[in-house]
Amino acid sequence: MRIKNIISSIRPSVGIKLGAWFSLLGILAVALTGFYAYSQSRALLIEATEDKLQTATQVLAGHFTGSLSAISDDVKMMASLPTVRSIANSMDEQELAAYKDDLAEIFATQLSLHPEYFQIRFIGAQNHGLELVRVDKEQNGVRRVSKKGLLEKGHFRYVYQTLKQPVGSFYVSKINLNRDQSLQLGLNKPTLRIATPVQSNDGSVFGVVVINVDLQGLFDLLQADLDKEMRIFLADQAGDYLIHPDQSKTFGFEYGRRFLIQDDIHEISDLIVGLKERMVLNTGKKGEQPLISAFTRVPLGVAAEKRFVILGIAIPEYSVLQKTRVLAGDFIKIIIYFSLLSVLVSVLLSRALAKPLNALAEAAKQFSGGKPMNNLPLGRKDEIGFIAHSFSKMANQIGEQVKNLQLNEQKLNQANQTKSEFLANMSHEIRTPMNAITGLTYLCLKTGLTTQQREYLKKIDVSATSLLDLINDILDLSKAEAGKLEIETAPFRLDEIFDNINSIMADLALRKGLSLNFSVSGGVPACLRGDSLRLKQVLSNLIHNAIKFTAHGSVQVFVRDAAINQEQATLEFEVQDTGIGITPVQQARLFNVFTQADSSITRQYGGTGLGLTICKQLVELMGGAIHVKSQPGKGSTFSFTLTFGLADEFEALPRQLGNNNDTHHIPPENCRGARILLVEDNEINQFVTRELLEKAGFVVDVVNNGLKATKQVDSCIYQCVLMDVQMPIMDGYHATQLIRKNKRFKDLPIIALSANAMVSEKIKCFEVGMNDHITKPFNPVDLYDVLDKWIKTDKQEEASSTQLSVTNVAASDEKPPAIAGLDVQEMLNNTGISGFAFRRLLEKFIQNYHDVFSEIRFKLENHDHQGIDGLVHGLLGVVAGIGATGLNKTVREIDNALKENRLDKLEPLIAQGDVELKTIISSINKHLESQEKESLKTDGEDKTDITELIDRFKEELSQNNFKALSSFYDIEARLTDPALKSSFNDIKMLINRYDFEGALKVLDEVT
Amino acid sequence: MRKIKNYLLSILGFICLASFSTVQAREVLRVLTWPGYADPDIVKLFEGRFDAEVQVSYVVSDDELWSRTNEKEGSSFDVFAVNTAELQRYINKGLSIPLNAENIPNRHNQLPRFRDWSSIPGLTRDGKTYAIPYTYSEMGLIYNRKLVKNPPVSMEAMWDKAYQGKVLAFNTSNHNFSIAGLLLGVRNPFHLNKHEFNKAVDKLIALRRNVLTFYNSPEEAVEIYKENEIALVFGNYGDQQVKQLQASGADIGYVLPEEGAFAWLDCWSITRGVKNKKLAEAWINFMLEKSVSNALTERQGLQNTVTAISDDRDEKKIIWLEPIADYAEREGAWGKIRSGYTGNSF
Repeated sequence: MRIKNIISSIRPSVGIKLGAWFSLLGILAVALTGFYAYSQSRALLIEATEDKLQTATQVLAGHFTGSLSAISDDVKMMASLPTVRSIANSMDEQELAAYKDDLAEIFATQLSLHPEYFQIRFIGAQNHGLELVRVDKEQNGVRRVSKKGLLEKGHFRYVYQTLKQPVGSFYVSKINLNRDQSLQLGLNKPTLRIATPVQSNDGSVFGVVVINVDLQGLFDLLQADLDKEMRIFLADQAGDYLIHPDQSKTFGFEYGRRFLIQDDIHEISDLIVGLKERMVLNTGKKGEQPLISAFTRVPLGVAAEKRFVILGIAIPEYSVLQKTRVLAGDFIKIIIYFSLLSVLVSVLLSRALAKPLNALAEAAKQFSGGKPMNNLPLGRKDEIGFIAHSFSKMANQIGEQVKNLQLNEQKLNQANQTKSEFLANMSHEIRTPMNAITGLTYLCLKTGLTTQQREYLKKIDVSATSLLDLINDILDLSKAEAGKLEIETAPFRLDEIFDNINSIMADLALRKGLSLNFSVSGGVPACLRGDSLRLKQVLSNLIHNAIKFTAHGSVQVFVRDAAINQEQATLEFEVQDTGIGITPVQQARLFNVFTQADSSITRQYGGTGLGLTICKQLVELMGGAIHVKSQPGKGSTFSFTLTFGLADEFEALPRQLGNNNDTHHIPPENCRGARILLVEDNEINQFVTRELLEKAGFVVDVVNNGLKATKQVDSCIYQCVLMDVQMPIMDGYHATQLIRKNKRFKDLPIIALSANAMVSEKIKCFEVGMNDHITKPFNPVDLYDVLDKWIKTDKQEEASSTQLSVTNVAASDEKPPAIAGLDVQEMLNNTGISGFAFRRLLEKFIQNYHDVFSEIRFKLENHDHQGIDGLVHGLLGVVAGIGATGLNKTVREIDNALKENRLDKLEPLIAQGDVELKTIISSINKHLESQEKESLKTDGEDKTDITELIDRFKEELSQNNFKALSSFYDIEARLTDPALKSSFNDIKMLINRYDFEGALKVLDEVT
Repeated sequence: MRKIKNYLLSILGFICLASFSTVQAREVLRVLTWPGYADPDIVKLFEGRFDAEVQVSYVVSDDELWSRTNEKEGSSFDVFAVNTAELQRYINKGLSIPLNAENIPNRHNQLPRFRDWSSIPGLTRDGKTYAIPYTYSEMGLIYNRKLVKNPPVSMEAMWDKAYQGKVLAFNTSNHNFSIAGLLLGVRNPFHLNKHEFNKAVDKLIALRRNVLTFYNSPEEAVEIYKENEIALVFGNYGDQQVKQLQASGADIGYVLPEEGAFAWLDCWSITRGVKNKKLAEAWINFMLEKSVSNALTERQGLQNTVTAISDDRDEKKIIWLEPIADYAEREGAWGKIRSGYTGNSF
């Protein structure tokens, strides 16, 4: 990795490259020349040295042999002395002694004449080689050894070998260290013995004359003439060193260890065996300095034994090559100078070359950076000029192509913009008539109709709703894909969602004879914070699919808590069916856009195939993931996991009960009588909206454009303006801006009515000063809800309006129920809820708080004041909310006592609160019971209705009339008796198979 | 430039590290021994088997062995080969340390003569074993089959006038005095009293007068044997020398004298400075393997301690060499004898 970085970081310019190459070539040339010259001079020097060494060895060898031949002459001369001959032949003892004295004199003279001689002897062959005459050199001169000191030398080689030689020949001994213990001088000296035999007159061998020569002087002499760096080597014929620069290697054989020249220099073997007389070597032992050397074989005289020594002179190569090193140094200097020069020259040269290239490179850089090209060397007539021209031409072409591309891109963007606008317009255009259809259907259903008409209208409603769903799906999908889908975070109740889904889906499931079950595990919190609408959308979609693709069995929905902590809960949702299932191949593309498991499915089951794609997008947007497990023929399980925040009970209470397609809405009582200005250009929409508003008790004025609206707000006091945003003459945005300019209307609620459901549209509305936004076509409940929200604020400011409103409520046929201990009106004002939610609230209150005072007491006894604080504050909020004014007062006093730490006051207050609470609970229970009875009564009324319907149904069944189908659903919707319901499930299956006869039979049995 | 330099340096460093680590990998055993005792192929076998590197150094004399084992307080080598007589001064100085016989299981393969270490003088001290016998050589008598009709039975043959000028004796002080002592019937040939010593001097002068010469090396003996008519050769180098002479074409016989043959016994011992004693003991054990010991006999003509010799020599008396008590006196006297001193001039 590092190496790569280093290499990539070195990116030399053309100039540097050229310079580097020129320099390199120049340096290489000089270096090669230098090297050649150096090696030539080196070879010459070595050759000269070899010659010199060879000459020197020859000179020394001559010296050596010259010395030996002189000694031989001396030995010969002494052996031929008449005295010697006389000794050899004399038989007379006295004579003999005199001759020996004479001979000793001669030996002594010789010893004095020759410094290198240290002993001369005449040894007899008899008596074990007993010495006859022996003269030794001593420190103080020469000494003739007395008779007593004469030794037996017969066992020495120089004696027994010489005795074998013919007269006149010589024996030359091996050169060794003299070990004769009787010697004073010469002991342990390198010694050479030269001997010659002596015969007696009868021709027998009589003895030998021996001269012992101390070779140290000769050795010193050999080395004295040499150059300082030269080393001399001398070895005997066995190869043992006699002279070696390392003194410890000489005469090793005398000390029990041998150092052989042929072990050090193998080539010497050729000299030892006599293959060569001399040789020149240029070697060195491994790891040592190389040596240049010359060796020669030096014969030791003309002796019969043909002894010889190896003489060599060596010089270390480095000392020879001293001069060449100076030469090499000079060359290196030249190379350095030349390198500098060549670098300089090549830099100049490369600059000249690289300048136009750099200009080109710079221009290219400018061009790639999108800037105009300057300094293109167009004026040049050479190749670079040509390149510059081509380059300029190419750049122009590219420029044109880029322009074309930009133009195309612009067109594409425009097209895309147009598409977006078209989509928005389309949705507006579709929603506006849809608004009319759903609105009018709603209003129509409110009028007196025959059952058939009602049924048809319901079908229209259902169709319109599915069409809207489809449009919403498409919009959702495109928003999700554009990343513009927003996820809300608001408190909600999970059971509300399930109630809601169940109310829609149960019917669907029932119609197919399926059971739909919801199973929520114990740990799942009831109140959560998140996007309830999106969650509902996902679940509805999955459940709807499950029902759609299941013919028999059940659809089960499971919710489990995967992980819960103080702040959030991760829940696992699972929708399980026993339907047709999905193959693994189909599963792989299941969540793709416009994909159903199989294209044949579209024909069989219908649907756009958008549902699962939207589910996936939504779940992922909410931070979860969706999965499917399925076996064809056995069913499918869709599961997803989502994390929600936790909300408390009251936070999550529904503010209204909408979205369940319940046509029995209760219009917001407290808003009745309020005056509303409706600004809407579409006449049908005008009609529908006005109808909805007036039915709810509002006073409505209508204008058909923004300009008129700006004038109308001045002419009358309005509690609210409903403003369409797209209108002729002046649109809603502009009109709002104008209205807001008048400070009087700064707080006037202006609510946008727009077919555009996109967030951008909402933002635009808020930006121009609108307070809220309703998407057309709107659900009447949504409309009422928004109005309730804005007009209520108004009433709190205007007491008279409130009065009016309250009167209206009181005057309305739905009186608030009377519950002892509770101010129901107060509660309605506080929570804005009624009906089912109201019942639910009361039930929850009893469930959660019936024992609260016992708990407070318990905590008091355990001194858990923090716990009491929590309970009391919770209770305070609740009792105020449900309008329990008396109890509220008591709890407030308890709170004060706690704050003042007056524990003595607490007990009576708690007792009082407990009594009040019990009273409230008992009256709530009474109220709830009476409610139940009332609903039973209603059921009873319905029964009569149902009897009529059933009779007609029977008639239709008996006539095989297809109207029986619609009648069945009419009856089914009104059924409350569980026994009847289960029978009707059987009937449903039969009539779905058009078995009207069978259906009639079952019906007859149960009725 | 700097980057390139760093780059090159890092490569160089890496190479150095790599080579360093491979060098470090194996254990090293340093062996000091005699030529022929640890041939390269044998060493390689050991290295392979124990994943160790063996560095062998050779010596050619007892003196050299002594001086090299004394280098750096005995820390230059792990294991060395030394004869029993020489071993004593190593033990005295603490250069040789006791070894653990348990780690040398091949000792059970040794011939009966070598198995009882306490019966071999100088091998053990205070109950501790300092060396393991590896090879030995008796000093017998070589005779020229052409000149000597009946094989000699005693060293006394060297004094036989019939062979005057045809005897090759060895130029050494200690063995010659020991032989003289043995022939004179002394109690301990390695330790002569004054009287015995003087008699030995006379005996050796007599020997000198009967020999052709005294040889210094087995090679020299071969040379002299070829140049002269030789009847008897004192086999200072034992079987090795016999082999050498036979190789040169000599028709010779070899006998161990009935009075007993002196023999040196080379052993393996461990130095004070041993780095890995287990590995050194493994080396000794390896040397006692049949194949390794037999290789020594085949190549060097030296006897090993695990395979018996086929002829009757096993029954002959062997006198293991022991340290000489009067070494200096013997050497001094021998110098004079060899120089040619007569009984009068002593």
